[in-house]
Amino acid sequence: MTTDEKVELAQQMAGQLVGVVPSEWRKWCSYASRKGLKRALQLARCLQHSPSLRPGQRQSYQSIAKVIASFQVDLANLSQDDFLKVLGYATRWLFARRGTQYAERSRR
Amino acid sequence: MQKGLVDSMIVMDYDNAFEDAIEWWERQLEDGWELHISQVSLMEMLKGIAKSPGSREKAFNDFRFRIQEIRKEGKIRRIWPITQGISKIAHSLLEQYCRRFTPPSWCERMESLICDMLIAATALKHGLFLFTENLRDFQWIDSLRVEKVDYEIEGGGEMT
Repeated sequence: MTTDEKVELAQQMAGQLVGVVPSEWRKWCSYASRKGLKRALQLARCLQHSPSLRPGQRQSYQSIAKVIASFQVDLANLSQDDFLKVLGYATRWLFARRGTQYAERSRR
Repeated sequence: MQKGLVDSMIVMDYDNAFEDAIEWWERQLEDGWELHISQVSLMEMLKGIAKSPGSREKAFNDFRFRIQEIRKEGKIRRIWPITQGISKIAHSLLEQYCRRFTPPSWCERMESLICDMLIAATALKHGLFLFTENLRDFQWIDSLRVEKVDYEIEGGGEMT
């Protein structure tokens, strides 16, 4: 997979993630990099209903579980190195839209 | 079931993954609130979405997808359009504002004021409580039930 293709995949994933708390996304990415996609997806599915988490954290895992599952086939075919790169690009895309709307915040 | 209309900035902060906004929104739902938004808020957000990096078409499609998703999950109960009745109320509110205060000369602030009046009018028309980050923009409207959210976003552009 070329860099452009990895960026494209990451962008598609990030564009669909909504209501994801940055710290939870990072924790999930860290877990996924150590334990692999399948177990990380199981974790997200489990945590989305966990009563021990705050509502925002649960929402984060709900969105991660749903979006990552829809890209599971693409992600599962990647090498470990490419998988980590895609997650890294997705993190950047996920928060890139903050910067663009910051000007709108200051306007209000 | 209590029903509230969420102001544009809160929707923007939720979509932009600000933890406090997400926590606030999810907590309201757990507390039994039914949350609504105005079409005006989505229109206000388009300006920021258009500045997203990458393909603009894709950014708009993604935004539409995210809004559909949170609607499907019941996190937004309804998106209220601007109707004739709402625009009449908004016009009347703006007139009251201009009688009591000096309208801002800055074009973009005036644009925001008009959006605020349409949002306030939507809340009044449908008997909704209004949640906002900018209480000052709405608290002069006597008949409006309005509350400031219990968080504040500092900075805004930083990744935490």
